[in-house]
Amino acid sequence: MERRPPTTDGSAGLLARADLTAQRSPRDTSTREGLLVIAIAGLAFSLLAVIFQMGRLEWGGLIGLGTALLFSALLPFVAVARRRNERAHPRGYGRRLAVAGAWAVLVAGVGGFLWRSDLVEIAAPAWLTTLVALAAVVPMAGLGLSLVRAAR
Amino acid sequence: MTLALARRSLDDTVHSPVRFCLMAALNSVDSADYQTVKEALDVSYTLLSKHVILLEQAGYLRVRKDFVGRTPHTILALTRQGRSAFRTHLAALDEIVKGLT
Repeated sequence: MERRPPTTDGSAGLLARADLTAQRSPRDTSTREGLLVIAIAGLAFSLLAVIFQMGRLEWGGLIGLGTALLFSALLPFVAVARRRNERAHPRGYGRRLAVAGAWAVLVAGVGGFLWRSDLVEIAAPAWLTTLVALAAVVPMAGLGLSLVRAAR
Repeated sequence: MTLALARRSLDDTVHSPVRFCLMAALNSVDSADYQTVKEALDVSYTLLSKHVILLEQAGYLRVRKDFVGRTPHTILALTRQGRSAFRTHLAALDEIVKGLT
C-alpha cells in the first residue's frame, strides 16, 4: 500500500512540534548563572582594557600585573560558581559559548598585536582600546543576559 | 514509510514512558541539571537514575557530575546519537498516528 511519506521534513506532527519547542528558551535557566557569565565577561573586559593601555599608563606594568593577578585569582571562583549554578541551557548554548570564547580570544589577540607587541606602531587612545576590549566580551555578556532574561 | 516499517522503527530504548519524557525534555535544551529534570518529570531519584543509566549505556545520554560540597550536581545532555534516535522515534510515531489513511 502506497502511503504518504513520513513527516521527517518537520512540516507537521510531533517531530515538527519538537523542533519548534527546541527553538524556545527553556523556563528553567538560572538567573545566577547568567549573572556569573556576565561577571566573567566583566572580568575579561577589565583585564583587556587595562592591558591594552598598559604602555600609556604611569606604573602601567605594575597596574597590568595587578589586574592580571586579580583576574587569575577571581576567575576560578566565578567559573566554579557558574558551574555550580548551572541549570537548563537553551539549544545551541554550548556552541554559542564556545564561539563567544573564541571571539574574545581572537579580539584579545588582535588588540595585543596592535597595542602590546612592538611589531606595529599604532595610536592607542583609551576610547579605542576600551571599545575593542568591550567588543571582545559583548557576545559572552549577551549570552549571560539571555540566561537571565529566560529565567524571568 | 509503511505502518509496519514505522512500527519497526520504534526504538524500545526510547519508548518507555519515563525515558521518552526524559528524552523529550532534553531534546528541547542543550543540557539540564538532574534536579530540574526530576521536578519536571515528577519521578523519584531512583527511578530517574535507573533510566538515565539505561540511556547512557545506549549512548543516547551524556552525564557530567560535579560536586557542590558533598552534594552531586549532575548535568544531563542528549548525545548526537540520542537526538537522532529521538527524532527517528518521533517520525515513526507521526507515521503510526496516521493509521490506515
